[in-house]
Amino acid sequence: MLNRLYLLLVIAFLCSPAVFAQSKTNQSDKFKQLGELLPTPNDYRAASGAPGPRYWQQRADYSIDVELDDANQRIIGKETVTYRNLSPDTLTYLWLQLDQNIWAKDSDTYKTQTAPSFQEIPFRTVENLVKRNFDGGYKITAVRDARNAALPYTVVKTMMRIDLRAPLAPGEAVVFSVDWNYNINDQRKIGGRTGYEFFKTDGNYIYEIAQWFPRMAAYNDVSGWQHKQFLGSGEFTLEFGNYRVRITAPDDHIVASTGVLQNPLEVLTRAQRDRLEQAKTAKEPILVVTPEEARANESSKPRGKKTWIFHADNVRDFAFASSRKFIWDAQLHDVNGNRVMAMSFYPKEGNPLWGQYSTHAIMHTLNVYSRYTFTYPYPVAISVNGPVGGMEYPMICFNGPRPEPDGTYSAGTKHGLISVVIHEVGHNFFPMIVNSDERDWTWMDEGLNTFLQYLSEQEWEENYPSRRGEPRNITEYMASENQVPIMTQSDSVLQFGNNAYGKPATALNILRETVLGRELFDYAFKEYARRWRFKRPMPADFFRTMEDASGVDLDWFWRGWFYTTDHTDISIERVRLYTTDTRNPEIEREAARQEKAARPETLSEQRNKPLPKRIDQFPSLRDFYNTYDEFKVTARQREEFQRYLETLTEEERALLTNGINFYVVELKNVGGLVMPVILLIEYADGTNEEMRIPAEIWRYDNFNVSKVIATNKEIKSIALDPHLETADVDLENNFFPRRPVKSKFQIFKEQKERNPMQELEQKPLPPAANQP
Amino acid sequence: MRNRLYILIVIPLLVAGMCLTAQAAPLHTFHTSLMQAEYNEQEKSVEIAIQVFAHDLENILSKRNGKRVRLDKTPDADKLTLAYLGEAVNLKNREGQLKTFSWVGMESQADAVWLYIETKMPEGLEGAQLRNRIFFDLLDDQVNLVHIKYEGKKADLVFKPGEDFKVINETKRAK
Repeated sequence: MLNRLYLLLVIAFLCSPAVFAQSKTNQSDKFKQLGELLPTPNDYRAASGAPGPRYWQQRADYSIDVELDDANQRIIGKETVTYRNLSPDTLTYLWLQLDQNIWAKDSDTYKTQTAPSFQEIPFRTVENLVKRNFDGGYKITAVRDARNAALPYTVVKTMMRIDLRAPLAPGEAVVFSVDWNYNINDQRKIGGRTGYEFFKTDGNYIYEIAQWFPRMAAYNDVSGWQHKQFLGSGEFTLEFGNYRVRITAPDDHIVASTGVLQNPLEVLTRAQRDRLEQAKTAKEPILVVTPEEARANESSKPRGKKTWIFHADNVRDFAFASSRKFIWDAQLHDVNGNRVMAMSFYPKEGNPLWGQYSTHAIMHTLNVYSRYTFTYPYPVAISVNGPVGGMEYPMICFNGPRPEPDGTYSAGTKHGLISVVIHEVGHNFFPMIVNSDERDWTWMDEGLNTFLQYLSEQEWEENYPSRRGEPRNITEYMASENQVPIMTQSDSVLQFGNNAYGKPATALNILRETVLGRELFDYAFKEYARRWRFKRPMPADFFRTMEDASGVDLDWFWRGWFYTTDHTDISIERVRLYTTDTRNPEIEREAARQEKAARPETLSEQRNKPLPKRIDQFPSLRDFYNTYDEFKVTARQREEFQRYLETLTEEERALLTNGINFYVVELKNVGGLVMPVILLIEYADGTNEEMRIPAEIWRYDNFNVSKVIATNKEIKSIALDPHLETADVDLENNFFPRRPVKSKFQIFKEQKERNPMQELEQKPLPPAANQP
Repeated sequence: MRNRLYILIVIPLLVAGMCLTAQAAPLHTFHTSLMQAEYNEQEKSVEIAIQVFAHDLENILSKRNGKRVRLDKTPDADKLTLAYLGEAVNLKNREGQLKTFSWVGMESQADAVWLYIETKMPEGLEGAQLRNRIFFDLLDDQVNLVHIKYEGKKADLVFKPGEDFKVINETKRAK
């Protein structure tokens, strides 16, 4: 639509502050600072997002003796804990986590499971409901003080309170010991982040042992004791400390563990030790236990036990794996001067995938993550294949994907393995070193880690099929009902994967690419990692650091992406064109004439035209007005224009005459999330221009804004979010003029001949399905 | 109230299923499918794209057919998938008649797979009912999200185990 406009009025309008939206009716303020939502900064946590001058955290050192009973699938352990109270508080009792108790017969995990649908029910669900005969959970057999005298203790489901003989003053340490045992869960049957896998064909087990010893609960300045019960989703946070662990296993087992092996002479063969030595200078992973040796081991019988001794310093947890089935490969990898032994342990069932990819994926992860955070500080990094699909512990992680029994595998399985190794090794950075609290905030490690996983995947191979990170992959979730904000306690999160992994990872990617730019983002993100390395950050510390270090107000971004379920959907509602009224009668009268001529004749005008007219019959009826040309410029009009020009400065005269078009683009925020507006303008002369407008364009009115494009060209089309960088869920309203957007279905149908899956397999088209 | 309990996967099939090698589990368990359905005015047809996790689909097809089914290897994987979708996804017109889907194809995307099916429906989607029970017989925490576009309207539906047919109605979003 073409509108005429008085130039001087436009200038006055643009200079006027009177363009604000009415604040009495518009309640929404999406740019309101987060101040009231975030905890007040204090001496422990600074307003900048850094640890405060009096930041403190507790410390727990462990000495553990553990035996793996392969005959009965049992763990028998004894630990001595040295707990240092570095808080300003005096403690009269200690809390420990007993995670194994989620498999106790009376656990809250079972009790709080809501009823399944009884219309249709998976067999496994029925099995879980009726066959609860696994005798799981900790059997605590002794709790003693340093003098070996029994200490009173109380088990509260997945937590245990130990009552101290004397209050533990700030700065003091207490030593106590716990004896326990438990039955290991069959991971294949009842799931879990730990457990065993039984191989029917050779009668052997793989054990992945984690969350296996009574662990000191965190005590911190925000929640006091973090003893929120373990229900299965919210993982954990723990205290840093040094571990001295002696693992006794059948003497034909290979043990992979957090930490550095202290007694290779006692537990490894000469050949194994030599190969480990070779691995220190190798260019490719070296087999420490070959597939042939592992196959031979499968039919061996233990002649006794061996004790493997591992030391790990400054870790927040400890896990290990054990089996006689393990193939073992290793390569020493230099990460910015830190020499890390990257190692993988897997059964023959993991090959050929594991031998080819696992250790490479470890080294790749350490390189990329170290670049975006800090240099990986530990001496080893291990990936183990067993029953657990994917779970992280310090220096060691468990990853599930395997090829088919015939040794073939799909591209999905291959990328699934590489992705899960990157993800779980990546967890060393978040939350094993940047020790965020997953019991409360899953996104703080899963979201940040999934973001770095995406960056690492994209550096693995071109067009790596990353599941998460690209804004266009999150749009369906963002638009969906049945979701909660990212800032939701872990156990109450709906659509866990999208909420705690996909959405925060995508949000960070958008923050990096679209809001801050790579340079500012990478600087701030690295600063967050550096500040909170070996410390325990809270959500506010992340939000504040990213803003503090980047110098950009991001409160609107955190508010929208982390505290609401709004989504991006910006619509180009209308584009209006204003041209200047030059006041020059020669131009304006002619334009008016053309405008009138351009008006189509109405139907009646057309039909009336041939009718005989009376004034043609009686010419005397004609006068001045029958020949008057209303568009003809008069001398007086010319004079008036000259006088008007004289009142203008030279600049004003130029503005008046150079024929600028003012396009007013009206934008509507349909999805609720305020986001930058990216416009690709295509001009009639074939040139393009990209406008990148910060989200602050929405600050006066969160829902309706317009933007003026002043140009002496003619605009042909405008596209909003042309690079699919804002996760806009509806592309149909992103174009002026409107363009039909093809559905996923239509795109597929059109290029169906080019479906490689079908090309390869030449599958016949099946007939229509029968209905039930 | 007494309800009969139907165990859809019977024990012999489960045993067959348990012998299979491990599936690649997701990083942490969560189970969602996504369906986009759109009414094509010109073709008078309902065009449906469904995104599911490939390993979940392979699992259910393996269990149903008593053999290891692989989407990229099993020759009749298309046919088996369509047969499953025919049972799991049901669309009734406003007269209550069930529609029959025909196969368009599938394509993989990372660890997910997109399934494409369609059905002629000259009577349109107004007043129609949909039920999406994909993987309810496999996973008790499965959630199926459905987005439908028809006659310039949009409808969002969510299906959880136990839920029956839902009428397709325009979804009004609160501001």
